[in-house]
Amino acid sequence: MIEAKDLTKIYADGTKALDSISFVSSSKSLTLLGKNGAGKTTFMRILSTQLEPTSGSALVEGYDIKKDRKKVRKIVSSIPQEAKPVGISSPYEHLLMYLTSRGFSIQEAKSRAREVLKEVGLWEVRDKSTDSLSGGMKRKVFVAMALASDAEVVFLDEPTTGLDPLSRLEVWSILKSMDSKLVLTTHYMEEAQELADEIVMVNKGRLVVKGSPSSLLEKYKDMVRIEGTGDIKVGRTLIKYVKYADATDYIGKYVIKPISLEDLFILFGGDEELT
Amino acid sequence: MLGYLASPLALLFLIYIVSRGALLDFAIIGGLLSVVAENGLISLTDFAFLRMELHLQDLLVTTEIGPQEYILGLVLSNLVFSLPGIILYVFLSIFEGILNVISLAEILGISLILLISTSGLGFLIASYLPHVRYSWGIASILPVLFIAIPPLFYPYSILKGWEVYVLSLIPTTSAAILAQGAAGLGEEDLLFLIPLFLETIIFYLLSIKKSRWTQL
Repeated sequence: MIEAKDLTKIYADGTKALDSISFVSSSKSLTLLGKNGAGKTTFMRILSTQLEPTSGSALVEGYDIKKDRKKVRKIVSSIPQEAKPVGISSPYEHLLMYLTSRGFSIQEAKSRAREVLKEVGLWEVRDKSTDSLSGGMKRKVFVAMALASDAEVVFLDEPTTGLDPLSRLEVWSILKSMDSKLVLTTHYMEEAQELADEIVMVNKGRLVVKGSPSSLLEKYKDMVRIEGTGDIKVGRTLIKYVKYADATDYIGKYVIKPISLEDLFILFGGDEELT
Repeated sequence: MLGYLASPLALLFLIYIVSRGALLDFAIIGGLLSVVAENGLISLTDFAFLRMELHLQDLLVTTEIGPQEYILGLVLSNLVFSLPGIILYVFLSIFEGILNVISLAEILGISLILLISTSGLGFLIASYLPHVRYSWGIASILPVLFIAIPPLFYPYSILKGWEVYVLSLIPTTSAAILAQGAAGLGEEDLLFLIPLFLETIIFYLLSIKKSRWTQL
């Protein structure tokens, strides 16, 4: 269970990255949505004890991130968004390094690494230097590390950014097969739709929407998105939302689309100009 | 590894030519210490790269590894990179008849302390760098401060008393004085163990405390 209470983070330069975020989530897969700089990564880094909050508290599986830091670190595995593999080391060596650092014995680590490398499709390249791997495979090395860790909670910061559609599908299937609870951030709505049991959307460090994908969309089930007119401006595109029954007025003149998570992002994740 | 050997070997050659062989013993002992010190100091670029480019430190925060283990691991890796240089200089010092078994053991002990000290300092500096590119400039300045100025390649006895005390703020000075004493190239003054140990402990503890394992 993830529990945040008035979690606030103000960086040394005065930037308020998180502004009194509070929520409780017991879902197996929690996805944080928000545009760049919304506070997702900060929130994730605080929960995984990499960053101290300025104020407020949080519990991960009942452990306080400040008072029980060591216990939290034992049960979570966190893969940062910017993490890059050590180019001269192989996927197998990465897994060995990570697993032994998590307390696995050498024998356990070897056995688990072999098992997971086969599972994620990296077995054929297990001894190649990661420098020679494609971007998708490099990212899969980190997903394999998280998977192999058997951590109770796995934090993944934008796990599929920069991956081609096929690699993304592969990573999704690995993530869905994991027994661990997942907390991930993403910009991709289809990823949230695919993986999330629960979505938390943040904007300017504040929680703006929380719920399951279906429950969030349920509120807008009678609505459609009209592109080409309206008072919401996304880049050069004007957008408006109308009831399904009223959409007939726009047929043939504008693009009409059914409501999706992307619309929640536009409505709740944008800045003042957009809303 | 070859990079770490380049400047000590160049200095060895230069000192041999300029002093017509008279200061060769100092250059060999100094070369041994400078290989170790340079390795420790320049590794700040590796520390900065691992932290800011690969985000290895962020990855390891949520493991059973703490800053002590991480820094010790990095010191050990520096030792591996220093080994070819150490072996070369040990061979030269034995070939030249500068060291016996006891003095060799003493100097290797001093080198190990120096490695911990300079690696700790390197890690500490790397922890405060906002970008990897700063590490390149600092890594080129530190060896001058820690290797060229202190009495690594010349007899410490030519320094005035106050100069020795000022320079002993740098761990390579104390290490060089102890090593020259152990090799019989100068008077052995074991009191310099105190600043060497103190600086090593301070740099090591500061590097752990300020390692930004959990950032504020």
